[in-house]
Amino acid sequence: MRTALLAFVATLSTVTMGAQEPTLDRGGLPRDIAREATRMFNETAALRATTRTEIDSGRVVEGDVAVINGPLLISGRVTGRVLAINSEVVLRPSARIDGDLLVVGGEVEGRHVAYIGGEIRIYRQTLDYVQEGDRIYPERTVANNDDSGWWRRWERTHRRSGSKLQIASAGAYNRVEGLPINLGPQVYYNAPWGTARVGAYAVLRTESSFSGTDEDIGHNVNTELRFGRRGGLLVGGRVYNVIEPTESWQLSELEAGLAAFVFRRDYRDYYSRHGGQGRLGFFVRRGADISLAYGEERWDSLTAQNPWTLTRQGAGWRPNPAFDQGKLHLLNATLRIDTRNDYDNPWSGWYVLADVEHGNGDMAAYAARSTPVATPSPGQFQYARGFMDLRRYNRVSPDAQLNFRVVLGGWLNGNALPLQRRFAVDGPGALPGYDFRSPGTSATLTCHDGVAVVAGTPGQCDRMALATVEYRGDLHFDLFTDWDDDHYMRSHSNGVWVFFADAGRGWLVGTPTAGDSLTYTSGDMPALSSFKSDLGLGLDFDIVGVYVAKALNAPKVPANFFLRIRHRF
Amino acid sequence: MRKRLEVGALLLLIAAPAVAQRGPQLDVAPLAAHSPPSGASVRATRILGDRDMRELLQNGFPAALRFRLELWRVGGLFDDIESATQWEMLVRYDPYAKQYLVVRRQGAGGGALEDFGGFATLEDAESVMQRPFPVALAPRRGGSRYYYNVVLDVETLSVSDLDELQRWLSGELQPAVRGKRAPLSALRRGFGTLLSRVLGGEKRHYEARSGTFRV
Repeated sequence: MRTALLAFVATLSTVTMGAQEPTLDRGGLPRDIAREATRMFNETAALRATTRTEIDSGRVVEGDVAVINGPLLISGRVTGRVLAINSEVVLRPSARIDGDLLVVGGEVEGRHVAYIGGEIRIYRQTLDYVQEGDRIYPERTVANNDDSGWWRRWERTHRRSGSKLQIASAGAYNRVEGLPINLGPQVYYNAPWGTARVGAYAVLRTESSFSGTDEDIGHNVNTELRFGRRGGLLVGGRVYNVIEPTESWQLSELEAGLAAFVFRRDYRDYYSRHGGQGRLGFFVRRGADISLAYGEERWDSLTAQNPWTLTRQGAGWRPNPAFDQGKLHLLNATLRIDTRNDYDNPWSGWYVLADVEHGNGDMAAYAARSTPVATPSPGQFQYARGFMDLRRYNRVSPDAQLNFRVVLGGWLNGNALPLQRRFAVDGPGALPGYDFRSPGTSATLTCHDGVAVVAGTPGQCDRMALATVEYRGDLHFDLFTDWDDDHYMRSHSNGVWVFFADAGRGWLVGTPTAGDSLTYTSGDMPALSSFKSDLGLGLDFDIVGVYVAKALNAPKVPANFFLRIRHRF
Repeated sequence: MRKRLEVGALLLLIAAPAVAQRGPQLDVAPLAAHSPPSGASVRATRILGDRDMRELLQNGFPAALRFRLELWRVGGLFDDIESATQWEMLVRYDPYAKQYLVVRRQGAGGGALEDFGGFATLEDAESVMQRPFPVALAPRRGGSRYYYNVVLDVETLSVSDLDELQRWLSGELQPAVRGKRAPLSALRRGFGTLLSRVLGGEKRHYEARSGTFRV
């Protein structure tokens, strides 16, 4: 119908005015596209037409094709470019265009079945033009719009090269900083040889006094160069004065921040890092890299403040544990492999994060440990620690998946681990059937015996192991969308039921004494029967999941209800 | 008891607005005209229509709708992704022309670009996405069962935060300063937008799956 209208209008006058769809107020055609289309039409020699044109199957047009006020139907082959002005284009499965396809003021049908060797560009806006003989020229009205592609500008500035003022959260809302905010310039450069990125941020904190002390305003200046497109060398470095959490592998930043902001429950502990680091490594495609980083930094202990929360404002915060303070030289070898098909909702693939850290330096003050862990004497030290988070996502049927996660971490050699590098496996991010840092929590999850527990109850296991398996199945129930059209299948709904099981524990490395169930020699691993386990069920509505978990080794401990944002892992 | 109350309150907060209005829909179906299917048809409905997204757009934040169509082969134990393709739609509100501009891009370098021009209303702009979009993604292995899975991530974008601040100052605050709009309303909208960006609340994720078919 629209084609017929265009053809009718074209017949009435040599001056063709652009037609508009009845209900849509289309913007004008960008000026440079109008010029390009008219120039290409005037230059085209192989086949030029001003009416309905068909290239039959088996016919080969050597060169460019230009049609105005078509439609243009192609079943054969065009070895050059194809231009259609104010024309619909219909491509049959046998159609083959070796060059580019430019359509102005029309649509293309069948491009998903035809072969097009070059670029496809389709502008729905009609071209207003003046015809003089066999040549056409853009109407002057076209020139009013010189916005040849706002998206191109965005792409240039956003994706390729440019700079911007970054204002974004620098981490989770927490009881030490409140909300940390990165404020500063970010420069990025995308070149044929690779990419470069530099960020220089002041770290503002809503719990700041703005008195100019180190704790109030931090900084994070970082840079990374990647040489190569699909893989290559990466070089990076950063200078920082930031507040970092321990055990960030358990809950996501968003979950930890929301739990703190809404329920006044902070599931992480924090310490400050002040220093610099250089990094050298290799990356392969987008989802894998291996790097070696060396840093020199100072660790300090921090106390909890009293940031505002949405609920339970009268309740106190859990104290932030005192951490070890000293100067360190850190060497990290890190491997990251991510083949997940989707970051937010993975159905397939691997995620591996493995890190080995060697630390040495001078610890000025060790924080007190809960019994039975002895507090070391200040002085020179060195240690090695390993950590691995291994996840596998499997789709077992169109609407179900079976996922596995294994987390291992612990002391490898040297002196005892600093408190910042020790572990716990209790709470919703690890073994949710067991309460987080509760006095009744099993000693095997936090590695204290309950005789003398320091404020904040930091995790202090030398080693830990945790395994999780979960089965996720569609509920065929969708809380957020309508189901009023049967034509399309939407059987993968938002609602998912989850069954999961966890098993894990932590332990100390040393010489076990009689009756000591927490300590094992460095070559030993606790019997699997000593691991704590839980079972749970949940309903995951994509954005938020509601879960219940029951500890299997503690019959008297009631089941725990908890929320998770997106997936558990 | 307290935990249960917290859970209940949060669920109500999340569920109430969602059930009170017709929500977004993402649909995918094999192309029926071809046997075996040469690809799938994808349709997105009411993706940008909610109040928050509308406000973000009107405050000058372009929106990117990134689609990824996956072709899954049903396996013995686990299903496998055989192939995938991506495209994106960019939507931006032009306050001077009072139009919503829509562009669809598919593939990098030698791919496809479709510029839909400007639309007077967001509903008109969304009508582009509501039309089934055919995408070529043909199965390779005969004798197997397949299905399509489509993923849509919706994210508001920025040319730069400074540009956005300037847009907000000229688009929202200036009328308020001149007495044409309530200052508190303008401040609320502006800070709401910034807060949304800080918390990352402007990103949405949708998925849909087709029925299985045999090749």
